[in-house]
Amino acid sequence: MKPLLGGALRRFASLFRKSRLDAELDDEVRFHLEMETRANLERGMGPEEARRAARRSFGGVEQVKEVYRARRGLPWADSLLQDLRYALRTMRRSPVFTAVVLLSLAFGIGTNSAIFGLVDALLLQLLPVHEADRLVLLEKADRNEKTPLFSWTELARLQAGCTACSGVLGYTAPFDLVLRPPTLRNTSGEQQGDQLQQDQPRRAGRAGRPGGPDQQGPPAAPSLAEETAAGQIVSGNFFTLLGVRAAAGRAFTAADDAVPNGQPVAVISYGYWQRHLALDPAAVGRTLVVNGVPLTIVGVAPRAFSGVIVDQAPDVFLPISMQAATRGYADVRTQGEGNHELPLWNQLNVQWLNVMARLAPATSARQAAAELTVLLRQVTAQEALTQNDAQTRLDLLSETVVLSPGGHGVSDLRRRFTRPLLILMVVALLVLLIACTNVASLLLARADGRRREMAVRLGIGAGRGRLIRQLLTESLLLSFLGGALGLLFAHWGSALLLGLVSRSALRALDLSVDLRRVAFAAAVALVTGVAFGLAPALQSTRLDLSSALKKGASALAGGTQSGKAATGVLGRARLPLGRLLIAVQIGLTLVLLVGAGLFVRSLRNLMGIETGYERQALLLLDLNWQVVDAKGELLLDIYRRLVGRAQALPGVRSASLSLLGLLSGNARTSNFTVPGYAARPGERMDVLQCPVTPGYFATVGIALVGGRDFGPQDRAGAPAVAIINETMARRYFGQGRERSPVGRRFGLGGMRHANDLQVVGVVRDAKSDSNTFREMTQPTAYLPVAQKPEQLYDFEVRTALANPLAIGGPLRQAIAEVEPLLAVSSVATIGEQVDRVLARERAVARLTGFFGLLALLLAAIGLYGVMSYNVARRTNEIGLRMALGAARGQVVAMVLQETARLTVAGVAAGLLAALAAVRLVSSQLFGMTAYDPATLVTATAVLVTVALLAGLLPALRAADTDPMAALRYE
Amino acid sequence: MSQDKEDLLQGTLDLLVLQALSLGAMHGYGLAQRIRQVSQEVLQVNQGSLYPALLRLEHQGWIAADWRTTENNRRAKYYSLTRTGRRQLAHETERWTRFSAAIGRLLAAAQ
Repeated sequence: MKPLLGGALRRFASLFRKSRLDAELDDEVRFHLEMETRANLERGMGPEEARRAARRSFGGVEQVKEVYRARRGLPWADSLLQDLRYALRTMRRSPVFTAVVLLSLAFGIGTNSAIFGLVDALLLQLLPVHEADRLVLLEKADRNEKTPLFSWTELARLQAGCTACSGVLGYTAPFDLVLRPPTLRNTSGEQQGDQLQQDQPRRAGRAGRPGGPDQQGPPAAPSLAEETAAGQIVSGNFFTLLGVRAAAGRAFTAADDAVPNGQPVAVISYGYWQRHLALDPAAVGRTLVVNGVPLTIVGVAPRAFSGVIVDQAPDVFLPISMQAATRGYADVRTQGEGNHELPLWNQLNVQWLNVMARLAPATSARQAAAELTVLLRQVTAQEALTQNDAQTRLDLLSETVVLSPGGHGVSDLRRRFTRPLLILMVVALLVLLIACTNVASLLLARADGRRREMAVRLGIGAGRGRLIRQLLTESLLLSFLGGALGLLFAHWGSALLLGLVSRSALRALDLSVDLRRVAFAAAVALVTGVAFGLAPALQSTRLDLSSALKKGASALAGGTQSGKAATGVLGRARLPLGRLLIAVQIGLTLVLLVGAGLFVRSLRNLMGIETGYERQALLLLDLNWQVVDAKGELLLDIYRRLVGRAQALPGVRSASLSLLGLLSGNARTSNFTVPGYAARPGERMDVLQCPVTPGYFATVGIALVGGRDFGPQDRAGAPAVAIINETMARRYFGQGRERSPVGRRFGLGGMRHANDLQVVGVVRDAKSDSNTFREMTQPTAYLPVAQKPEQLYDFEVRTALANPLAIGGPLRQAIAEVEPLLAVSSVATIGEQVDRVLARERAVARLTGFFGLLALLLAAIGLYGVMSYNVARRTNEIGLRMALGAARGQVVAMVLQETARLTVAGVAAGLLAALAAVRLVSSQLFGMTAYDPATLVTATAVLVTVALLAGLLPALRAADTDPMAALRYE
Repeated sequence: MSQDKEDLLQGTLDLLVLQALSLGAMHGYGLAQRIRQVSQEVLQVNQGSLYPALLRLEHQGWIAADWRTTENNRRAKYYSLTRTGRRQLAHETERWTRFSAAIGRLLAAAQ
């Protein structure tokens, strides 16, 4: 076998050194002939005779060379190269055709592989960890709902007791914290600087001003050296259980987690290492100041690993043991009634950790779930003891653990975008299909123009198979070039697509063009190349030789037929495939246009939604209090000064602070009790609670519809009061004036708290929670922060400015002057905030709209191309008609009629397809049904108009035919 | 060019070439001369058809080629037998002997 293989390799190699081998063969043959000639001379022949005899005895020199060549290379590869060269020459001859085809293919394949890239990164790829398919995600389920959050006590119990698992790990969602990286610029002195910071008391350490020679940034901006970064709290066994090794230093171990506040350590991400520490190995062992707490960097996570949340990239990982010290994650994204000021790790009631487990070898997920449920109930039984409400106790005791596959990691984007992405994938495939039909009809038209060439080639003995192969080579060359171009598009296309919906995910998801995407693009190119190339190739090589060879024969045949067809549509038998393609294209385009119309209208409905607050000139600042130590009165004083300073700025009308703000993504809910309201069985009574400073309603523009606003009288010690929204009033306090909730009472928590709060006012419903923006407004209770001081994360500023962002700078400065340690995480107008909430709808509407227009353009090009071609072919017949007295108008009408016929057929099919397809998207629409007559009518009208316009140009050209010239034409 | 002739030639030509090369490296012209001499002009081969045959043998790995200088200082492509070629020669020779013996017996029986 070996020599055979070697031979094949040699033959293959010889393809690439053809010219050298040719020269060698020439040399060899020349040598032979010269030797023979000399021998002949020696035998006494004359010079001329000697040469001729030599040639005679050699045989046909060129024949030998040809046989030699055929045998030397791989014959099929040789003819492939020949075909490719020929195809390239044909492409060069018609650059416009080539450009149109390449661009439409590049676009079709590019969008497909761009979207495939996202689908792959978000839905298909496993986490880059050891045996990802053995990982399971844990959720807790009671009879009402499932939650992915566990308390630390629960996690510890699961970790200690699970024998069906190789291990159980916990982690939080990434959260903002304030980081100060170690300085690594030079080795002398800086070590001392590090030491100095470490020895400083906490508060001074948080000032963010590295002392001595390392000072960076002007002193006027104290938080320059510090910056907000993303942190994630993970259990000590997080890395080891996932099987992830540190890129430098070490990963956490279970020991890092053993003693609360015992291990001041951190693992940084590769990205952070790269961005801030220049990949310096000396970073390991240095001090990173996290929320003012110095932690030792013990290691760096590997490059490909960004935790188990695939669309988020934390900068730093902290062990659970350091949660309390760093006050990491001590914000509002936890569930339960725990005290957020206390460490979270030992509070039974605070659910804050996501949990994953690795199944032990040869254990099923079901076994593990059963065991984990038993373990969980051991903890919830304890928790139940603290509850008074019987139902709550029962719920706690009946909680079960539900497992789902965890190998793909966790992704909020995946949850929100799976369906839109699949819709987009289908849309992109439709666009590709349209591009393909376009290319096919263009190829078909061109193949028709090459009938003579084909006939000649068939006539001189080329096999049909050989010609089909030649034509397929051309279409495959086109599709692969298109695919390669498409990959270029896809390269930035994926990032562009993702950027439309989430900036943070851009950093976490690896969207570089990898082998999988190249393979995908190549597969698509292959399929399209064959699909759109085969039919034209088959059709154009199926020829009646003698008639095709006669010039003009085809036109004559058309003419006879038209004589029979009184409608004037001639050559209908010609290009039936071409017509079919055009109709299909029009149908598909209509489907896309209808889809785009639905999404655009749905977005408009959402944009126009009644939010319940003023959407102009409002600026929202996200505050980060993590390094501020103020409590109680001190905190209230900061609030007063913040509001005062802000209101003193020119252009500011009013300012306020609140816990949740508007559309911040934060939510704090708890159960509540209204005396006299009996919950139906199974009814969950949850209220969104939002502590605010006085002036909140006036600042954000939520109208008071009954009772009074909060005032200075609502302070600590005074009767506890609340203002509720209309939904809460209507649902739990009854309707009507006589049943006004003002003056009545309710309480957060169980029966024991039923009379805690008195309602003093009712405000209009406001869409303040981004999680429920598209749904019914939740019952909401606003509480005066003065009665129970806590940190408020949202700073609202109502301005009188056209561009509220202009005041961002002065506001930041004012905040820094009031409290230097208070960081501003983000500044956004309410408009931007709404845009962010609607990012998905906006992206889908934009993309489907874009694809719809693209499809329309492609269809117009296709229709125009085919009609122009038809008109050109029928020049003679049209000339004849005009010579016989047909008016311009009649000619235009005749050609347009054909366009209209195709359009009507396409639209009819398209409407049917669209009606069937819109059901798939109805769940993504807001405030409308999928069968939206306005959208259907508009899409049809647009399509018909564009189609007729595309057909009109060739029709006008036909009418300009000069009868004499046309009749002389061949 | 008739297909039969080439088929007929192939087996014999291969054997002749391998046999000739078993004595030492040779260039194409030399091979042609030798085959003519040895076969005593019985095998009137078109000399040109030798070269495709050489190429085929080379691809099969039975012979190897390199450019050398001839005694009168000309560059020429010399062919030599490889180890597999030597094995192949033994194999072919044996096969050929058996074949011709069989033909001989057959003809003798027919008489």
